[in-house]
Formats: sequence, structure tokens, C-alpha cells
Amino acid sequence: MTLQLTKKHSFDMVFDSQKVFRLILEVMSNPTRIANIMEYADRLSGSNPLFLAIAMTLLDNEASVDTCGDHVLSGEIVSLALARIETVDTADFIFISDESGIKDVIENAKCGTLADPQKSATVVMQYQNDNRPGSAITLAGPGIDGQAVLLAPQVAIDAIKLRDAQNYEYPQGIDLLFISGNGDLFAIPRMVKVVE
Amino acid sequence: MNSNYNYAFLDEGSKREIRRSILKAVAIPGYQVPFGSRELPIGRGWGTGGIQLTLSLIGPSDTLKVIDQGSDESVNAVNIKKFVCLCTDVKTTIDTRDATLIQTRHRIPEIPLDNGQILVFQVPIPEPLRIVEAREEATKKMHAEKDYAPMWLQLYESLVKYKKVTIPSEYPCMVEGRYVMNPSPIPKFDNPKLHKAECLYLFGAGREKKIYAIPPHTEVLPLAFDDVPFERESFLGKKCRQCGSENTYLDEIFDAQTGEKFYQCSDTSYCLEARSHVSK
Amino acid sequence: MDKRRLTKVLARADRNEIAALSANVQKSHRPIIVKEPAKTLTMIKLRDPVKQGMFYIGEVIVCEAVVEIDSVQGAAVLMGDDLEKVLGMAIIDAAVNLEVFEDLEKLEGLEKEQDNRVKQEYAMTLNTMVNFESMDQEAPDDLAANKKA
Repeated sequence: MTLQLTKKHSFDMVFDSQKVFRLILEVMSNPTRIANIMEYADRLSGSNPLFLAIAMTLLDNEASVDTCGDHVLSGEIVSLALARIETVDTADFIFISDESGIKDVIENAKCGTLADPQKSATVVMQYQNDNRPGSAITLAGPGIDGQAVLLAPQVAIDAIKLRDAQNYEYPQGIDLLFISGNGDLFAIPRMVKVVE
Repeated sequence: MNSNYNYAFLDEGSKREIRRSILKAVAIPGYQVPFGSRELPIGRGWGTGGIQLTLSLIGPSDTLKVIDQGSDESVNAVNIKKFVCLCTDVKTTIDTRDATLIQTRHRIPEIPLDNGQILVFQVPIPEPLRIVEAREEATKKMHAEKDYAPMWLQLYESLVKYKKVTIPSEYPCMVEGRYVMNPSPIPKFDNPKLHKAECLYLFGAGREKKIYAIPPHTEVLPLAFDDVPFERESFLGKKCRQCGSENTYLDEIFDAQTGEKFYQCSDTSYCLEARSHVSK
Repeated sequence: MDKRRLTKVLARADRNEIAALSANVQKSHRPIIVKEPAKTLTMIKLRDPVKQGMFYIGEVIVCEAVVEIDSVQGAAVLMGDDLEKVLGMAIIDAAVNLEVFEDLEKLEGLEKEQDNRVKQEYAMTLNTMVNFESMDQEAPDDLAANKKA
């Protein structure tokens, strides 16, 4: 019976999510390195296949998510991953693509406690590759050999600086995952800071 | 490959939880992330933590190496390799350089790993403070408050009593100046390999239900006083009887009949390779 | 028929009955698979009848599927690993959500049969029930009084 019906998504829940996970792990372990997940997002159909690819890989009924008002996306994530919808201050994963909302997210996302720093949010921010001039910042921290220069759109740079400005007491903090409109993924975990 | 089971044995929900824990562990180097350790057809205490990590990481394009005390051929290593292959059909190797994923018990390979490789450690007791504090509630608080005084006191007392620190393996390290970490029962000889490495180190404790990580280029320093530096084991005057190596960790072998003691490389694949170069 | 009743009658139905109902839906509609039927594990929550606390009795293999008919979704979760049955259940659920399911009467008939079977089984075991009188404060007399339907 299954053979006769067409599939809406060709994303394989076993093999594609494993590949996407390894790419997310690679960029988390090597901040400023860029990996691309477009080929996996192409196997999903929905309002935001790139976000969906990350959601399908990491979320399920034991994780919570906030989509910053994108109800279509949250509906898709709930029906595919069964994740719980929560608010910006309690969600494990926050998906944001509207640049004007980034300040609110970074200031309110949960940062864990000293005893349980893992109970903190991962913010997944999408930016568009348009022709706006970006800038460069120098970063240092675990995963980076000495220092590394990140070239990125201003909106991403601002998010990283805003995160640093929250002055969390380490190990508290939030971890940032950035994804561009064409699938470029990079991560700036909480220990990686801007070098002045 | 046995198709009655999900790929890599674990169900996707278990893999996802472990994967989320791995990502948090990488973001907070040296911190032990609690996770829901699953039941496996291998008893606790036999490497289930490392196995759960391997099963959650592995994919068809990986090449797996499994070692136990440096050897690819020990019973533990061979059985773990067999189990993983039964449910993944993944390529395996004994060549450290060819592996993308290496699971190890109690040793780090002699050949430095590169950035594309992941070393998964089997950890019996993840808590480095267990030797000074038995209660989990108390050690959790110590890590939260960075209160490691009892640990330093332990080292100091050992120095006063025996003129040296008497911790033989599982030597505690400080990660990025924040967390004291248990590197698993690797010999002191291997401790320096954790510091600012190229590869990713992941630690899994199945019985204790903790995952922790050391990303590449991370500062990992063995606990030591300024005036009493950390010392590795010395093999001065000894060399491997098979390949002649003088700078690898050596196992001491005792011949019961002749009473003779000799030494050979713990890392068997390294030794094999060294010998094949010599014979060429 | 509300979702709770629907889920119950579908889960208890024989796989052939589900196959027939699902085939009927597919005569006039083309479901698309959103989430392929797959096995997974889930924890079962129960309420302990003595202290009334919630606890996990253990975990069970279940299978789940999500389909779409004309942009309306249907989903099903079923204990066990009958992937074809859970897919059929999801298709029926989608048809009910889309309000195009024609065999509601058949479902009600199945429900009656299932309820009768359960009642008969229960009646057989009633003979073996023991009447407890407890002197212990914690355990209430006659646990049957606390049993939910």
C-alpha cells in the first residue's frame, strides 16, 4: 500500500537527519567554518525548508520550540516533529528569520543555570544573502585555532555582539546557529567571543 | 546488516536526544551533560556510553575503528565492532588514519588525529570529583560554583605524603580554566594529547548517564601546582620489543617461565605500521 | 464521533477491517504521505491507584504515520509494528478531518462489537475478583472503586 502513495518529502528521517546532524556538529566544533545543508532542505517541502531540515534533525516531542510568530512554520514543525510550542524565554530551540525580532530573542532566550547550563536555548537565525555590505569580526574560543575572522552580513555580526553584550556568567549562555538563504550554516557557541 | 532493527540499532528518538546532548556538550567543553542512557544488548560497564555515542554519530560514509587499551584485537573491541557492523554495515579499519570515527577504551592512539576525525571514549566514572566527594548532588554543586578546593587538597596531601601525585590514570584536567574533567582511564602519557588537538573528543558514560566533549583547539591542562609540574610515565631505557619504539606508551609483558619482563607498544596498529616500514 | 472514540475503535479494529475502510477512502481521494509509517518508542504514563501519582510504566514500541488529503492532515499512532495498519488509520483520520469519510456507521458498528467483546471478557473475570478489606490507611478498601472505565 505504501508503494502506491506519493511522498510529500523525500527527506530520509534516518540517513538525511544523520548527515545534517554531522554537519551541525562539525560547525559547532569548528566555529566560523561553513557547511551547506541545501541538498537536504531540498528534500522537504514547506514554508521554510532550511529551518525544517534543522527541526527534523534535532526536534521531537521532548524538545520545545519558538518560531517567533511564524505560525505556518510552527504548524509544520509540530506535525512533522511533534515538538512542543513554547515562548521565547522557555524554548529549547528558537527559529528566527525576521531581523527586527533578533534583539528580543537574544535578550530573552533562556541561558541555563550554573548547575544546569545545558538547559539553555539554541537560536537558529536565518539571514538572506543580499547585496548589503557585511563586515568582518575576529573571534576566539574553543574550536578555533588561535583567532579566526568571520565575514558575515551585518545582521549576523550584530547578533553575535548582542549575545556577548548579555554578559552571561559562563557556563550560562545561549548558542547561535546561522543559516543563509542558500543553505550556508555556521555556529557560534557560547564560549566563542569577539576579540577586541 | 540486520534489517529487523533500525539503522545503528537505536531508535531515532534516542539518537536525537543523544545528538542534542552532544551539541550542548560541545558548546560547554568539559561539562557533563546528563542524558537518557538507553538499554543495549551489552551490559553496563562494557562501553555502552561510548557505543551510544558511536551509534548516534555513525552513517554509511563513516569508517569505524574500535580499540581497547590500544588494541584492535581485544575481545571488547572486536565485539563492539561486530555489533555496530551488524546494525550498520559500515566499513571498518585498524588503520588510525583511515578511520573517521574511532571508539576507544582507555587509550588515545599514538598517531595524532586530524580535524575530520572523532574520537569517542568509553568512560566508567565521568565525575573527576568522585574521589573526594561521593554524593552526586554535592559534586554537581562544586562544578556549578567552580569549587574545586577539595580536589587540590587531595593533590597537595599526596605530594606531602609521597612527594608526588599518586593518581596513575584518569588524571583530572582543567578545561578552558573552568571545568575539572575526568579524561577517562587513559594513562597520564596520553593526557597531553587532549590539549589543543585537531580532532573532536567525545566522552560517553552509559552507566552514569553523562556525555561530555572537548572540541578542537581547546585548552585542557592536567591539574598541577606551579612548582610541581605534571609528569607523564617514563619509559626511559625501555623500548618496544617488536618495533623498537622509544616514544610510545608501552605495555609491560611478563614471561612466567623465564621470569623475563619485556615491553611492547600498547597501540597495536601503530606498532604494526612501524614494523611494516622497517621491513620495507 | 470524537477523536478519542475514533482512535479507540480504529486501534482495536482488525487490520483487514482498517485496510477495507482505507481502500474505500482511496477510491475517491489520493492521500500523500507526509511522514512515512515508522517504528518508534514511547513512554507509557499511568496513574498509580494507591497514591494517585503519575509514573512511567515503561516504554513500548509504537508506529506512527502522517498523511495529507487535499492539504488536510491525518495522523495515527498505534502500539506494535503494524506499519500498514497505522498508515490505513492515518488515511481514515485524514478523511474524517476533511469530512469526507463515508463509513461512520460501519465504525459505530465496529465500536459496538468491540465494546461487547470487552464486556464479555470482563464478565468472565468478575467471578475471580477478590473482595479486600484493608486495615492499612494507605490502600483504600476495594480498589475496584477507583478503577476508571
